[in-house]
Amino acid sequence: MRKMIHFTPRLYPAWWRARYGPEFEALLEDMNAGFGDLLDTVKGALLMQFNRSNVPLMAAACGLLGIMVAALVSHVTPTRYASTAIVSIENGEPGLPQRVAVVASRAFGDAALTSLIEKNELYPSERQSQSVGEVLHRFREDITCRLNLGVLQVSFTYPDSQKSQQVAGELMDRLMEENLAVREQEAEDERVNQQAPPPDQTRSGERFRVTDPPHPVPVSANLIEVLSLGLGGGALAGIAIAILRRRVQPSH
Amino acid sequence: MSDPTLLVLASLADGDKHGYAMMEDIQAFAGVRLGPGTLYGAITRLEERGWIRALNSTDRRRPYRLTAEGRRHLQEELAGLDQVVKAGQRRLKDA
Repeated sequence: MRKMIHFTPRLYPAWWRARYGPEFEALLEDMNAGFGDLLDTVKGALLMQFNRSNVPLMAAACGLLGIMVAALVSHVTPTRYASTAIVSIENGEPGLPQRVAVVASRAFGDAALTSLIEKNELYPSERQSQSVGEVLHRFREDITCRLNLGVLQVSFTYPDSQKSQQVAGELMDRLMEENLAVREQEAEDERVNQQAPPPDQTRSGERFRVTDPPHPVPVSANLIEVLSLGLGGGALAGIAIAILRRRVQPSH
Repeated sequence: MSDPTLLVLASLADGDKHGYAMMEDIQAFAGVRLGPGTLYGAITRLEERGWIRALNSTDRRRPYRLTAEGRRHLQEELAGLDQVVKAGQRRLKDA
């Protein structure tokens, strides 16, 4: 904090630093500066720059402010946990991705997901303020279903680690049940159409085997990405303010 | 009262002070803690208006003094505030 606040006089315009710089630095040394003082100093520098706009310094000052805001947002954002259930698929057929997509769309239908939300009491605040469709949309955004080289991963990300684990397991169970139901239906259709014997005698089909039950792992936004976003957004805002200032008062 | 320029003028009314002394003094008499950016923003504006002036100093901690014009301005502002305070108190009493 002290290092950061001692950097802030550089954000002031050159004329101001030439006049007040040494005594301002002495004040910063004398006081026990906190985060509020850091923000106050950056705000003071921005206002001073705004009065006599300087594009690079305004961009730097706003960029620094953007970094601080991003760090604060990142700090107060609650931790979320991702639980992933992994299933290996044996005897997979060529059309497996399409088949998994069909099974997933049936397993994660509105009725099934609504039942999971109610059973596990997910999204309590969203359910109070949003429609069922919006909550379901949010739920689907937190579910990831990925098939790669015969391995199916189902993840669920949620702020509560236990619920994240529980629901990931239940989602995988739904997927397994639906796969079985689809297989039975397909075999029955095939048998009826071709007058073939019962399915277990003619068609082995793929088999799902759980290789890794879900474990909750904390996930957080990439800090470097968040801070870069803050820096970029702040710098752009600074440039815009400086240009606007010059247009409003071209004499400065 | 939270106008930083008025607080700085009031702080200098009883003698010369440098930035840190002003900050401490203002916190003591007004209960307001001015941040360093706010304090020096006010000092910059007041010096540009000629209401305070910097004194020579060998130390980096440069003291400031209230000018005659600054004293007159402070008196006017305080008289205005005093009028508001008295009117408010009278109305509270009458209500």
